[in-house]
Amino acid sequence: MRLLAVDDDPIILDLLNEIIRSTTSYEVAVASNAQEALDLIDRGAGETFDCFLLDIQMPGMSGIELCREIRTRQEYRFAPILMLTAMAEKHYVDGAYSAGANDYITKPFEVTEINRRLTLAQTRATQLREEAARALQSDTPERYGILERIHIFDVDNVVDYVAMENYLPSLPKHSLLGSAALGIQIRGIEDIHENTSGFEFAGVIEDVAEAISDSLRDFQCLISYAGNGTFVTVIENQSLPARHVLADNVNLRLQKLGTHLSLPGQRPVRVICGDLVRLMHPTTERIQEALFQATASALQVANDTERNLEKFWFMGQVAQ
Amino acid sequence: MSSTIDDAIGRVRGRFLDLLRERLVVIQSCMSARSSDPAELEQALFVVHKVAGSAGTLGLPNLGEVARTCEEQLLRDLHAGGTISGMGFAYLERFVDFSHSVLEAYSVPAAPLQAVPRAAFGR
Repeated sequence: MRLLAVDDDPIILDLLNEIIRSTTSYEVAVASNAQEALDLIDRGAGETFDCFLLDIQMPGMSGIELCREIRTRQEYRFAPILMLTAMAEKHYVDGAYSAGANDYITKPFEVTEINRRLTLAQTRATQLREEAARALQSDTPERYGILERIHIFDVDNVVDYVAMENYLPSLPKHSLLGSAALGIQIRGIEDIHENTSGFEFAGVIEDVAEAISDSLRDFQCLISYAGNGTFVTVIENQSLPARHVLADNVNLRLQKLGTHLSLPGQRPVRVICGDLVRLMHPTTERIQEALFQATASALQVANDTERNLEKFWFMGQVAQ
Repeated sequence: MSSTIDDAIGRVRGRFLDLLRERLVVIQSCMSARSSDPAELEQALFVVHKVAGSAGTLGLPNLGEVARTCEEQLLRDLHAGGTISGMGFAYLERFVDFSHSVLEAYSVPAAPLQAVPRAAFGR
């Protein structure tokens, strides 16, 4: 794995160089500012980097801007970007993940922690490279698995699901405990999946991501696609939107986008929100559990709604 | 922690202490001037921010903590008026004293007080 570490502190660059070289077989290149990093990236002469470690506060372009800039390059859309910074405040963490970071480590860091996160990054990089290679072989796969976490690019505040799992433990404890997870489910997802091509299904998921992102643009939040037609968003408690209003807004936007026009029978695409799940514990396991609860709740509400509709049509009962 | 990592950290700690000695000259220069120049605050903030970010990893957690509390005070000064307050100078003094004790413990001789070109430490 080839790493590029960017930091304006020569000691941190020395430290990373020494630790990584003495404990792994990774190659390390260093840059002391964003411009120097971009020069190295752009004159790679066919050799690309597999992973980036970026400081945030640097003279000139910040690490968050650099992260966003790296993501605009086609060959680095999937590359793991780890922020390594002393800035622990929530708005820096949010900014970094929104710009495309996959992980966030605060200084001072434990040496073993760096190695652990780099190992995870390497595993993830390998997975993503394989996915990218498969995607290159055919423009769009014939079919996506219904549970597959389709990658969504260039939609504000929408991040990879693994990045979402990394994001939450990166938050300062008081910010995490002041947030809630909300699942948003596309109704009748099995039916949509069954009756669409891979291209159409991915189009529906991307449209829904865009509609959710637009509907939540006034809120401090991150959004991720969890597979199975379920999105999960993490929002600060103080600014929680009413769930039915949010679902209505998303559905209205989907109507305007004309998402239904690409589906057989022009079946309307609609979403429904699950119950809010407060994030009460800062451990990784409990956070994963909370995200799961949020997605499971949204799926449950969607299934109940569809079942009640059937009762309404076939048994004369009233839909809820 | 393995001896390989210990050795690696030891090598960087040596360079960190050399740099700390130079950085203290900048801080001491800010302190002796006691001016209301906002650039002095930025200089001091830059130094303590860097030390707070790396000292802990290099096996100097107490120095990192002293630098962190000093940084927090200087950030308050930055938001309050943009110059170093009396409290800010007190924290800086504590940081300098603590740094000297660390340098002494690792036997890095202190440099005589002299001006260092500001550009070398610009943010």
